[in-house]
Amino acid sequence: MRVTIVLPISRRTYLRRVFDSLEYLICPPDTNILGIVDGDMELYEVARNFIATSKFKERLCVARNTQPAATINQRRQRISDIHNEVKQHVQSAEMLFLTEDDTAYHPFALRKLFDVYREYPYAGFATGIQVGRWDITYLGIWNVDDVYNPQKIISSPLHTGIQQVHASGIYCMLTRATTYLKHKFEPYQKVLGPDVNYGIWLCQQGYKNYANFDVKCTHIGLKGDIPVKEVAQVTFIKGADSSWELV
Amino acid sequence: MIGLVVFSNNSGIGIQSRRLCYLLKPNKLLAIDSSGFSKNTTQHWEWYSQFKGIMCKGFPTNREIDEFLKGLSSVFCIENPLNFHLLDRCKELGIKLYIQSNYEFCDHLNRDLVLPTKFLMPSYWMIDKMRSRFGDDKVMYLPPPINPSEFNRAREYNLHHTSHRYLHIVGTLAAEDRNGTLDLIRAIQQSKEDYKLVIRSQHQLPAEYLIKDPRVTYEMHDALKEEDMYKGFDALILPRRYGGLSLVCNEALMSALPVIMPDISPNNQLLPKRWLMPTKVRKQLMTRTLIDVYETDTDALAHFLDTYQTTDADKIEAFGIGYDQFAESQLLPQYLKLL
Repeated sequence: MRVTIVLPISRRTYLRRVFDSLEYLICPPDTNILGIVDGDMELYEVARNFIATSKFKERLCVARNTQPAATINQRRQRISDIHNEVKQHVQSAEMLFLTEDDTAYHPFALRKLFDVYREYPYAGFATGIQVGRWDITYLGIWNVDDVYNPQKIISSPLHTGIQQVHASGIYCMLTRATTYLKHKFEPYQKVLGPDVNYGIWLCQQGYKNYANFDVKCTHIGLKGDIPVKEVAQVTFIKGADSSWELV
Repeated sequence: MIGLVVFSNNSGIGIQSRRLCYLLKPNKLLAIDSSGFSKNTTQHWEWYSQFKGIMCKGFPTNREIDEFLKGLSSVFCIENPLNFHLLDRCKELGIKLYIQSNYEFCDHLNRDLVLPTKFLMPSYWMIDKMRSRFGDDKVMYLPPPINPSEFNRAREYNLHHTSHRYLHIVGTLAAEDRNGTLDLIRAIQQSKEDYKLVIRSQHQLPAEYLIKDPRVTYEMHDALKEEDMYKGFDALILPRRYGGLSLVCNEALMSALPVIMPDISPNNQLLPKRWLMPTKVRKQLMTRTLIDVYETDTDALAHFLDTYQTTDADKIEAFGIGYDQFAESQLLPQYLKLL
C-alpha cells in the first residue's frame, strides 16, 4: 500500500534526529513524504533540505505562516488547521503515516503498524506509543467511558502487543487517507487536542483503533530523551458545568 | 571532561575510535600515529579536525600521557592502554578509565596490571571468563557504536535489490586466517551452482588465497567509504575462526546483509540459528591467552552457497539486529551512564 509520511514541522532543534530515524525506517520503496512547515523562511529552508535529500519517492515541503501559538488552545487550533490543510496535498494517498517533529522512530515502527492493519484491515488507526511531556509521565494513548457521550477520559497503562484503544496523540499513527480526508480536525471540546478528537470520531463512525505497544517511540527533549518506561495514568472527568477536570 | 585515545588509520581500531569519538564528543584526544607499526599506514587526521588534543608518533610516552590526562575525569581507550602508565596514572588521579577490550589482546590476562574502572566488552565473546577473572563489576557488554547513516545508501540498495552476489571480507589478514577465507575457498570449490562472490582485502593476498573460479572476483584495495564495501550483495559470508568483535559483521548487518558465520560465540548470541554454520575446533592459538581456533564445515557452507535465496525478511532482520545492537542512539545512554 502506498504510504505518505506527514510531518508537521514547527522547530528545527530535533530535525536531524527525526530525519535520521525516518531515513532508517523500513518502508515500501514508493513511500512519499510531505513536510508542512509552520515557521519562518529559515526553518522552511532547513526542513526543505532535509526533505529534498531524504530517501522517499515523492518529496514535498510546504510552507505555512502563522503567528506563534501563545496558549494551549491556540496551539491545538493551529494543529487542527495544519491537518485540515494537509488534506489538499494527500488526496491520492492510500495510507498516511502521521509523525511529529520531536519524535524518533525505530526502523520497524511503520512495519509493525502495518502488522496491525494486516490483523485488523478495517482499523481506524494503528499507533505506536510515546510518553508525554507533562510533569506526569503518561502515555499518549486514551480510552473513554462512552465514545458518544464521554464523561471520563483516561490514559492507557503500559501493555504489550496490539491492544484496542479509543484515541491517541498524533506522533506515530498509521491511518487510511480516506478517513483522514473525511474528518474535520478540531480540538476535543477544548480539553484535549485534535488528535484525541480524531480517534473518538473514528470510534463514532464504527471503526476500532489500535495501539501496538511494541512500537516504542522516543520523545526527544532538550533535557534528554523521554523513554517509554513506567507510566502513571491520567484521568479527565467532565463536570456538571461541562468543563473537564484533571483528577 | 572526557578523553579518548584514538587511531586514525583505516583499520578496525581506527574506524572504531573514529565512531566512538563522534558519539562521545570528547574534550581531548590522544591521537596515535600508527604508521610505524600498522600495515594500514595512511593516517586520516582530518577525521579529528574538530577536536583538540595531543598527537603522538607510535606508542605514547609517559610524558604524553601525563599531558593528555590533565583536567580529565573519564578516559576511553580501545583494545589496550598502549602504555601501562595510563593505568597507573588514571588510578592515582582518580580518573575513570574504560578499556574497550578485545579478549585475545587483553594485556591484563597475562600480566599483573592495575585494573581499569571497567572493561567494555565489544562482543559477547568471553564475557563470563572476563567476569570470573576480574569481577562482575569490572566487566560489561558495551559494543562500539555505529551511526546507521554511514550505511544508508548500501542498506537502501540492498533492501530493494536482489544482487545474486555474496561478499567475503578478509580485511587485513590476521593470525590463523582469522576471517576463514581458506574455509570459504574450499567451500566454493565444493559448490556447484552459479553465483557471484566478491572477496575484498585491504592488501594483496598470498597465493593460497587466490583461486581461479569465474564466480569469484577479488577486490584488493581500501574502499573509499565503509558503506561502499557492502552495497549490492545478498549476504556476507564470514566463516571466522575465532570470536571477538567483528566490525565487518556489525557493518554488514547495518547494511541489511544477513551474515553467515560459524555457530560459536559471539555469533550464536547475535545471529539467528539459520545463518550459523556447523564448526569444530581445529587447534589452539596463543595470543595474550590460549584461544580455540575453529574450522567451518565446508560441506554445509557449500550447500548454503548453492541454495541460499535471499528474502526481504532476512535483510530486514539483519538491519533490525544491527540497529538494536549497535546503533548510536541505542548505545549512547549506556555510554553516558559511565561518565
